Amino acid sequence: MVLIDNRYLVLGFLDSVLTTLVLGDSMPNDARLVFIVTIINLITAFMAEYVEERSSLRHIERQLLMRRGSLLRTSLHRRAIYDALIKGLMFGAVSLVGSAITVLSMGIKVLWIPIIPIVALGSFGTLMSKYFGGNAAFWFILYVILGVIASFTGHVISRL
Amino acid sequence: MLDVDIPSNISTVELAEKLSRVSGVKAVNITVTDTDVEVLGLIIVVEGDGINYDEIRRVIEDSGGAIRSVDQVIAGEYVVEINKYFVREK
Repeated sequence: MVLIDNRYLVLGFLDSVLTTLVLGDSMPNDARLVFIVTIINLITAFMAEYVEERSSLRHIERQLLMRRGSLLRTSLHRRAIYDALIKGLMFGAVSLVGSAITVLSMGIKVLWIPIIPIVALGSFGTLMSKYFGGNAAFWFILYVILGVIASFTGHVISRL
Repeated sequence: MLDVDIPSNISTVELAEKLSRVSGVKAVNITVTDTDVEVLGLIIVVEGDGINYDEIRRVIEDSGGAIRSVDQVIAGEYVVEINKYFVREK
């Protein structure tokens, strides 16, 4: 059973919200943007995990004094693919949620700043700080600042 | 009796269950003889009648294990006891 990695919750949500904030103003088709962010993140996470798993298999092969590629037709390799797939799907799912929330709520703005995604980012930062016992206010503000910078970047890019 | 190395993230319980399902196998004993960060050294004793060795090897290799040596094989109508004088202590 693959362990759900918390880094993919953080990475998936942050990456998808920030990417959507940057590209949101430039791309007229919202659904396409959500699709692109989700698919790219899914494939990226799968490939990154698979490379890591293969490297781990190679390391085990060396420890067992086996020839390179000896473990490729074993249950270990099948499990490596399964684990990478699950982590990729999880990253994709979190990215889908993050990107969809951002796209659906980007209409409500103060100046160039879409309020709901930024508040969602801040809330996520607060939740994250609870997880590792950090300063909730600091992480809320940090995530809000990240969101404001991303949306400003998107605002500038859309006017080029 | 097999001398086997497996990756340490493989469950010996699962391996024993898989081996016990091989045709001809009546009993399996897996004993960990050596532990490393990533590798476990095992002595696997498989008992039964008409054991399918190829399938045993396939199960172990499919789990990522490597059979280092086959240390004892008993076949025939009765068990041939070996004089301990001939057996070096491992």
